[in-house]
This record gives sequence, C-alpha cells and structure tokens, in this order.
Amino acid sequence: MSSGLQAAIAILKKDLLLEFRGKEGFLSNLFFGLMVLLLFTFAFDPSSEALRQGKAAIFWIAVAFASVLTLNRTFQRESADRAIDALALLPVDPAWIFLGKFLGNLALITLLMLLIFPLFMVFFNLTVTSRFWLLSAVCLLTALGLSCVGTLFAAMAESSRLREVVLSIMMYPITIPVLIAAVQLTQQAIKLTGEIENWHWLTLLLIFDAIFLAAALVIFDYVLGE
Amino acid sequence: MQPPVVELVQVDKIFGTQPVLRNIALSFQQKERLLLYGPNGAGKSTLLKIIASLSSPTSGSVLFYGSRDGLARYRSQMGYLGHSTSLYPDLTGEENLIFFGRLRGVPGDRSRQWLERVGLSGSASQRRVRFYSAGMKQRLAVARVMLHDPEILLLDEPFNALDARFVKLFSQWIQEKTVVLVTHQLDLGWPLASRAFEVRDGQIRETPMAGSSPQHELGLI
Amino acid sequence: MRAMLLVLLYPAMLFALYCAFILAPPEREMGEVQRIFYFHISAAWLCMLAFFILFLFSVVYLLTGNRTYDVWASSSAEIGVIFASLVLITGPLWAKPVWNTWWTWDPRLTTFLILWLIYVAYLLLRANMPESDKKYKLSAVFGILGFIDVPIVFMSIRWWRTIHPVVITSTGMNLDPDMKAAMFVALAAFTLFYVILMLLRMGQKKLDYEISLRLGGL
Repeated sequence: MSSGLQAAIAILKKDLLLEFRGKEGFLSNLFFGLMVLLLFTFAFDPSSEALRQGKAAIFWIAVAFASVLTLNRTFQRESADRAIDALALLPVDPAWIFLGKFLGNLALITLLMLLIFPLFMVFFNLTVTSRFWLLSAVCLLTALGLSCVGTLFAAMAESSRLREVVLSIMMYPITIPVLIAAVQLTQQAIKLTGEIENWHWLTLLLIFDAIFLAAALVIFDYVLGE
Repeated sequence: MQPPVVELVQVDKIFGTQPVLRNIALSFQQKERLLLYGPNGAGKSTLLKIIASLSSPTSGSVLFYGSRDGLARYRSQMGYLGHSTSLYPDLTGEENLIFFGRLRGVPGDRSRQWLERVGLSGSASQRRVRFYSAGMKQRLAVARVMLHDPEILLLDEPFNALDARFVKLFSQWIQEKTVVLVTHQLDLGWPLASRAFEVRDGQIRETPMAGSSPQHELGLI
Repeated sequence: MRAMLLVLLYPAMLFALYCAFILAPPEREMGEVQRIFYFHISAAWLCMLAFFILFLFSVVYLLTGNRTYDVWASSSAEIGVIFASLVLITGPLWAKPVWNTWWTWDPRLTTFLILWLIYVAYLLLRANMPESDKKYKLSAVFGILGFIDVPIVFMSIRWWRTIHPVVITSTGMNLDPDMKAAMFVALAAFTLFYVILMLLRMGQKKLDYEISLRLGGL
C-alpha cells in the first residue's frame, strides 16, 4: 500500500472517530438542518402549489446549510493545536491529505442527507420506491460536489478571520450549479409519475464533480503550509 | 563534500509589509547541531518554519540536499516540533501517537514504545490529551516527532514545561542527530549545540562557540 | 505612460459619449433609454476582461510566487467587481422601461449575478486575511476556481431557465451602422479606461506597500 494512501486512510479514520466522539457537534448540525427544513415549510401554505413545486429545494437548502457547519468543524480540529502542520510536513503528495479529509466530509454529509431525508419524506408525505436509485445517485453526486469544494474552501477559510462566514460566502456561489442540479433531479425523483426528463442534470453533476475534484487535488498543495 | 541538508539562499520573509527575515544565508551539514537564539519577535520561529519547509520564503530559495527536489526525502527524515504541540485534544495520548505513526507507516507497537519512553504509558495514555498537563502534552509532542526516528530534528522551544529529568533524557536522544534548536533557555541549549546563531531584527549572526554561553544574553533573559 | 494614457482617455470618453448620445440614432422601439446599452455592454466586457486577467495572474502568481502578480490579480478583481456592479445597476435601469420589469431570471442576468457574488467573495476572502504570502496564495486559488466555475454556472442556469417560460428570448437587435460604431467606440474607451485604472491602482498599491514598509520596517 502506498504511503500516501495509508496516510489518507489514517486521516479519514481519525476524523470519523473524532466526529463520533464529539457527537454533539454533528447532532447540532443535524438539528440545525431539520430546523431549516421546518422553517421553510412555514414559509408556504402547506397545500399550495408553490410548496408542491419547491419541496426538493427545501430539502437541499437544509442540507446545504447543515453541510457548511460540518465542513467548518473539520479544519478547526486541525488548526486548534496546529496538527495541520504535522500533516503538511508529511513526505506524501498533499493530494492524499486532501483525499483523507474529503472522504471524511463526504461520509458526514451523506449521513446528514440520510438523516434529514426521512423527516423530509414524512413532512411532505412522499413515497420513494421506484426512483430510489435516481435519488441515491443524486444524493451521492451532490455530496461529492459539496464536500470536495467544501473541504478545499474550509482549509482556506481556516486562515481567515470570521472563517465561518467566509466559508459560506465562498462556497455557495461556487456550488450553485450543484444545488440547482440536485433540486431539479430530486424534483423528478419524488414525482413518481411521468417520464424522467433532464438526464443532462446528472451529466452536469458529474462534470462539476470531476472538474472540482481534479482541481482540488492539484491545488491543495498551495493551501497547506504558510 | 556532501551537499548541505538545508541551504537558505538570500531568504526574505515579509508578512504583508512587516519584514520578518532579511537576506538570510544559512546552511548546515548532517550531524550539525544549530542553536538559534535571540530576543522575542526576532524571527526565530519564522526562520525555523522556513527551514522546516512549512513556510515558503517571500523571496530567495531553500534547497534540500542541494536541490529543490530533495523535499520529499527531507520531509521523510525530518521531525518538526513547533510552538504548538500539534496534537488532537479529543484523542487519547495513545490514539494520537498511533495516528501520527500511521501517517508515516510506523507500526503501532513502536508508537506504544514511545509512549513508555516519554513516561506516558498506563492510564495516562488512555486519557484524552485535553486533560493533560502542559508538561505531559509536551512530552507526548516529543514522542510524536521522534516516532519515525528522524535524522533531522527542528525544535522550537522544546524544553518548555519539561522537567529537568526529561530535558536530560531528551537531550540524549537528539545528541546523535542533526538538530536545529530554537530556544531562549541558553543554559539548556548551549551545551547541545555545535554552532550557535543569534537572530536579531530578522538577521542572523554566527556566535563563536568557544567556552560557555554568552553570559550577557543569559542576563538579558 | 500613465499620464499619456490619461490624456488620451479624456477625448476618448468624450467621443464615446458623443457617439452614444448624439451620433447613434434612438432605437425604434426602446427609444432614448436604449442609449444606456453602450455603457452597459462596455462595462460587461470590461469586467469579463478584468476577471480573465485576474485568473491569468492568479495562475502566474501560484507558479512564480512573485507578489507583483498578486497586485495585478487583486487590482483587476477590484476593478472587475466595480464594473460588474455597474452592469447590475445599468441593467435594471434599462430593463424597467423596456421590459417593464427590473429583473428577470434570464440566464445571462442570473449568471452575471452569480459571477458578481463569486468575485465579491474573492474580495471578502482577501479582506478577512492578514497580509502574508498565504493570503496571496489562497486568493489566487479562489481566483482560479471562481473562473473555472463560471462556464458551469452559465450552463446550469441556461438549463434551469428552459424549464420555466423564458420571458425574454433574445435581446438581439439589428444594429444601425452608427449604433455599431458607437458601441465599438464605447468598448475601446472602456478598455482604455481599464488599462488606466489598473495602472493607477497598481501604482497606488505599490506606493502603499513601500510606505508601510518604511513605517513598519525594522
């Protein structure tokens, strides 16, 4: 096993262990996501057409908000006692370090989605059976895009003042394509009737993920160190 | 002659508009032990970070084993202990060491051995670092840098919070290595060093090593 | 050189104004208000140019680590954001009387808004970091990623809008030769304006740097 891969796996395991140990952090984020879900439902008349059309958007806004909070924490942990310095000085390509952090965030954001979704289903009276696979693909590809951009930007925001705000400001405009695609596809997936149109949104997600993953792996070198 | 382990050529470091280091030229060979001392804010830690390849100079160049490509080899043989201990407060002492060991392919047994060597085996190793005293944290940090048996050690005030007995032990461990030591505790650092440099106002000056440490400096601090 | 260009800029701008307000005939349907078009388009062109320069010098900065290129990049970003703001202001001013709406979620408009957000984020990131090489590096990283993102945003917005009825399909106009001339003059004048603003801003930053270097220097 290459030493880079080994390091990436060690970082991933360590992050998951710490998340699991400090459950309150993750639970607070989850709770925040659920609050957002709820608040948005109050913005619409429950029986209105607008709500019927905007369901998917509400879900994804909740996920996007909760994700940023999660992302914020992953590098705070590294810089609290400058453990990041020890990572930066490893004799491996920094891309591996990015990969480790990225996979940890991917797991957490996917978990957030998995936990928010049931409540979303209950509130909006959804049944997801026949299009389960489309939905899973959308969630995974979106989680990929969000955590890729998010991991990179969280590492960057770490050296700024007001890092929480800075991360949101950087992340949302850049990830707008991902969120639009996710909303469009989810809308299709929960409709259950009618043809699935707009497969091109999946392509867009794939393209976005591929481009930003490649860019992040190359560019992470500049983000580490001082 | 072998190329120097690290060579700094005309290195400047400027933070925004604050020049911290100016026109530094410094190089050292294997087995040399350098002491960097000087008043607070003179740029010692910044200089050490540049030597560690953690920080890049604003201008000038840093060569490892005579070239820019020596970086990976250098990093695999180097241990850096900075101002902070670089540990995870919510991992136990043992988990911390095993994690840092894994990053460099060090087997878990060796990590546990190091816990013992720094006197943190037993119940202490199972406690979260958050609840460690400053001295325990520093000892664990020492174990973290020694873990992969580095040839080169870069240490920034490593004796902080350590008791005399451990300082002695630590000094023995690093005796045979290549060391760059930043400290204001000249009484501890001077005997360890083979060359000494005074860092002042962002510049360095080599101090002759004859005899004991410069008393006026001791008096200053 | 700066002074020379400045001397050139005054007649150029005056001439652009003359072309836009006097030479070009009023548009048949939109009337006089359409004249804002010359400045709207020019400002849009200018900020595209500015953001491209930002991208370019961000790459160069990362490759060389020379602070001068960060000054290029950040100056260009500031100018770009100012003109993007102008585009976002002049757009609705034009749209309200003509389309009877301030704003429409047309792909171009929406992309432009997001573009503006991205580059404001760039400036905010900079504003929130202490001066250091790290700041320049991170800004360059963001400058590059932001630019990569723009075509993806445009694509996604275009698809997004095809789902809903598109209010305005095209703003295409058959331009009168005088109108075309006015447009090109405005474009040229604005490009010159950009060059001058860049030179001024970069000179200013250099001075600022030297002064604080002397004041804060050891």
